Amino acid sequence: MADAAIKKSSGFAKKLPWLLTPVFLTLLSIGIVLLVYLLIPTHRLQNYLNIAFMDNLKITSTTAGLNIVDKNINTDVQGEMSDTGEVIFPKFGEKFATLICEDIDLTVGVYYGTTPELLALGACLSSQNKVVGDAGNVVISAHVNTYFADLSKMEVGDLVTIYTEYGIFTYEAKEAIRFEKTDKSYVVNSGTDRLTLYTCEADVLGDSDMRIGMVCTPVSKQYYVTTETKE
Amino acid sequence: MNRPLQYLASVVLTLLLVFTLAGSVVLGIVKYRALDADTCNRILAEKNLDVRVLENLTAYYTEQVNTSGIPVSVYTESLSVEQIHGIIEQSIRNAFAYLHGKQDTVAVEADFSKLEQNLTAFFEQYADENGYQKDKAYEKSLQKAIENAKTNVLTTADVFRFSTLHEAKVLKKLRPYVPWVSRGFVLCLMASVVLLALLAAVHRKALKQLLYWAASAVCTASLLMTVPAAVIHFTRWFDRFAVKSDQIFTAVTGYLYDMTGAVIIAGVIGFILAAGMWIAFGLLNRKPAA
Repeated sequence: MADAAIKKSSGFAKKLPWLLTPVFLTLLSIGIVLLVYLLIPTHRLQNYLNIAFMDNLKITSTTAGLNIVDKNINTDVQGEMSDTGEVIFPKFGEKFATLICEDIDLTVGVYYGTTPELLALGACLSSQNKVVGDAGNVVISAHVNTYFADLSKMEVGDLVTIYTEYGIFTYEAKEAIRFEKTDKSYVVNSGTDRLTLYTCEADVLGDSDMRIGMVCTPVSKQYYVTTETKE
Repeated sequence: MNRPLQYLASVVLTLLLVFTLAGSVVLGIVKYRALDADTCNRILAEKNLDVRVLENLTAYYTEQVNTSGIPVSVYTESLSVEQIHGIIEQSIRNAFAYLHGKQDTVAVEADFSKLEQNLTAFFEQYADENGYQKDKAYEKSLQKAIENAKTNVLTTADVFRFSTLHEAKVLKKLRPYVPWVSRGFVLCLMASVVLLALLAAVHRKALKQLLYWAASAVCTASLLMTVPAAVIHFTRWFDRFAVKSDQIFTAVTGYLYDMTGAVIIAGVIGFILAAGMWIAFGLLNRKPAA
């Protein structure tokens, strides 16, 4: 009996290298792949991938395309505010802010992303630009026949307030702009902190090639104080 | 050859075989699937991209009525699913012909005569009804509307963004590497054959062991390809794609998931092949009953 057990265990010991070799080969291969990945500079490719496939752009619906989320943004300011705080990055298709300009009687929900579906629902913050509260150019557009019909009436000195779930941001209208639709100079990311509002120039017949808008500069940035920011 | 040396040689050769096999499969998929216009044409048919484009255009023109003053019917009656299908097919054909060095442009030429007729008729009717003078401004508006409509249809129908990739010079950058895919594929296959021959030489006294080492290489290569592809595929990683226009999102993610699907299928075939070779090795190694 003992002989049989010894025979059996020695048989297993003989087979062990045969069983472990594929595991060893797999681990070695994974190690080589990881080493190559670490040695080859992939930062640029990674940047492109991060832009093309953003985590917060992942849709959760079973159908392809847009997942529109309508949120009620509180414009009744309550609670403690701070000059510094963190921006909560919205999801693509989410209504994350309310824009108010009392001087032209404008109140409109702001969606993250610019698609025909979202433009039909409100103003849209370009996902290629900065989010409200971030440093840089915040670009918001809407249709001239709907939400930004009175944008041309906005005058220098008018105040624009954007309410979000993470804070309240006030801007002052500084420069009325008019540019061709192919001109990207007003919608680029670079430059000072500003809010750029624009829409199509109304045309009698046919689509307009011109855009009109207003460049606004920040007056105040106030973030809601949460227990996390307090800590 | 003594045993430790034989084992070490087998490990090194199998390790190299893992990468040449994985390279063969990946480059084979790129050559026969990713760089094949039929893949995009299949996605076009399976996902009804032509219908999606027409729906998108209809939605766009419906929305633009108040801005442009042009009724949706002027556009929708000028466009058909078949016409959009033809435009998408042409853009696919041109892009792959460009990548394979068969032509130097990806530009699509489509027949928009009906669209031109309908827009002209609408403008004339509008001018007559409203006493609008058919002057230079009128002609300019009409030409602009026609040009905008053509551009809009072509841009919307460019579901795989070939024109955008061409304008951004991405296709130009990729073009020189396309012939290297075929060369790389052949090289990897040849290297795999050479490595198998070397493994056979190492185990010439017990050739059945070649089955074991080849199975180990095939299994490891399959694992290296299948696991990342399966993670991407089944967590729907490509759903993060930034462009959310329905027809573009469906086309691009459909294409990318087609690739990960192909890698997974190749990996599963590899696992089955490896299991078969291991079983054969076990059977050949079985000692006859005393």
